[in-house]
Amino acid sequence: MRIKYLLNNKLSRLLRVFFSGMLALVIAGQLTSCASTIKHEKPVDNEADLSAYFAAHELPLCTCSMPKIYFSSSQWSKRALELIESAHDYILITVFLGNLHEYSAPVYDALMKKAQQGVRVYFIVDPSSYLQYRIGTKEVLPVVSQTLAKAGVHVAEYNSFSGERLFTTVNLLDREHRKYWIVDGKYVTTGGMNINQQSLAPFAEGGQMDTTVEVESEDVVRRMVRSFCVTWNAFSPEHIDPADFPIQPVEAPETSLWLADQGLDNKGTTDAMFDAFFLYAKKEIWMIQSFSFVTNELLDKIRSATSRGVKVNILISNHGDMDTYDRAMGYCLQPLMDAGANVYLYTSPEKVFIHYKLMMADQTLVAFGSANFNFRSEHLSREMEFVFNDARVVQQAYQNLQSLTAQTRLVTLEEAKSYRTFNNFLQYLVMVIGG
Amino acid sequence: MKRQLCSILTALVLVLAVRGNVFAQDTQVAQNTQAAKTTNQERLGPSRTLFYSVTLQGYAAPDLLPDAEYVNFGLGIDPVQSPFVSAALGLHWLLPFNPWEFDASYLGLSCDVTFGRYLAHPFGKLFVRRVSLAPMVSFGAYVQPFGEKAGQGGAGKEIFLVSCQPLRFFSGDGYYTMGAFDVVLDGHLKYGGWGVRLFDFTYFFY
Repeated sequence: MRIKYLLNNKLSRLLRVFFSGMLALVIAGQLTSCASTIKHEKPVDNEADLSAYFAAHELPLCTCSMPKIYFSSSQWSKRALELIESAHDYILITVFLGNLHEYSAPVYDALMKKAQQGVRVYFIVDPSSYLQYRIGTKEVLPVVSQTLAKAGVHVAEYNSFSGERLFTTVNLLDREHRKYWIVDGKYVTTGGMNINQQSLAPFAEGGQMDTTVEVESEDVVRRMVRSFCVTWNAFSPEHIDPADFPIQPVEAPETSLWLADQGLDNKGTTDAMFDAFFLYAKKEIWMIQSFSFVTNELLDKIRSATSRGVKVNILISNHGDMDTYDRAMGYCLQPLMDAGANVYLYTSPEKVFIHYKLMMADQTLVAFGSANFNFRSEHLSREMEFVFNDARVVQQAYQNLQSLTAQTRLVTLEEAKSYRTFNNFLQYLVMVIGG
Repeated sequence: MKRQLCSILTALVLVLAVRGNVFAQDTQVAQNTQAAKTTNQERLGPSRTLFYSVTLQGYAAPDLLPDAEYVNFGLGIDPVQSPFVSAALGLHWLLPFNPWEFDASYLGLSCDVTFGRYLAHPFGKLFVRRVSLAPMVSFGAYVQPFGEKAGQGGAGKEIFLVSCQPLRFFSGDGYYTMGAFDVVLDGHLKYGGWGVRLFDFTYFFY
């Protein structure tokens, strides 16, 4: 009786006060803060400055093959199965969301088959996967961890929500948001696609529009194998070393990329990458960023570009699969516009949500990866991006962007103001930390 | 008794060290094989080494520690995390909280010796995630800086705690101990009582 009383009253009240206080402090700090990294940076005037900027912020330049960009789930699903089938030695995969579903099952089946054939398969998944529902229903989709582990796949959960981690408090806000694959030390991919229903289902069945980029690169593989091992060792009792995973050299690299890996060892990488685009652009920035739950720090980046006459365009998506996201995003439209950005709303007839995260400056610099333009990706999550300064790569992204902009409309200030409701503000507060 | 205890511990350390060397040789062979076909030679240390801990414990050592529920807060470093024998160092604050007696709290320093990390163990099914069994013996020296309530004469101001933690599990991001047994020694290393640790949560800092 006493315990029940404690749980129902004192303890729950204490916990509510504690977490509300923590949340309020963090949010208040962000909303009132004028701390901005970009104010301390000089504009990047040319390619040499750009290289120096990335070098100074520890984003390494890596040679690689011409990237293959998969702009649809069907393209990527097919390629993912080919990559798994081709593996002889090892497969390392990190995803934010890994759930069992009809459309993700072929990928998981192929991974389990390979593990049973003796290929070493290591899989890191974020426990946010436990909060995933079948689209349009209240049915919780099972997380793949146990299924894979039983089949011989090595599995680690990033920063687990389990009961024994009760006292880790705010560390639980740190989430593994990267999505990358490394196959046999030769192929490495990154992008926005998880291995779940939303990423792999067709549009007609609630699938999202997303992108994965694949390269062959000794440099990138070496760095990402290391990053994988560091993360793995931090959350698994089974120690692994980069030396356990051979790397294959690329005979004739055709281009290069800057690797923005915000892993456990690298803090502030995503923020530095965002700054690079706003400092480098002379004419125009395009962003596809549907989760732009902005803070002063992020708005400062936009202002720094628009104040120099740079046109900043942000394409966001209608038709999110969660009302909370839509409301929070709606609340942010006016601040984005007040900072000088043009906001375009993608409203396709298929009601597809764009989960794809793109940044492009002056049609010469482009980034693909997992990072959203929000506080969480900047400071609270592990993120990974490939940044290219190659016209051939940018052109592919630009063509895809043009196909999307054909189905957008410019948001007016009146419309943006209509979303500034108290209810949307509350959703925004939640999404700044939780989105 | 002290001599016997030392002999047992020495023998245990020697056995585990020899066993560790055998495994280490196997590992070296595996490393050499691997090195022949990879351009990547890098071996990593632990991803994180600094830790904090929270322990709930109680003692039957009336001359040295007042009857109370104790919480033990720790901060420390676990620099090696070897699969064989490794040691960690910790700073501790042992605080009687029920009933609350701040003056009777102790500050201490511990050396925590982990005797291997065993991925195959009979308790795996108790956990959703994979954990290794990492039994530990901890040797702690504590002083009572805030008062003399706990002590009888001068001896109570210093105590030594030897904690055996056979059910200690390692998950990569921390250690979880259930049901450890403590021996309490006074400042002259004489037996002063015993204690039980209900649980211990140890987490690595980010």
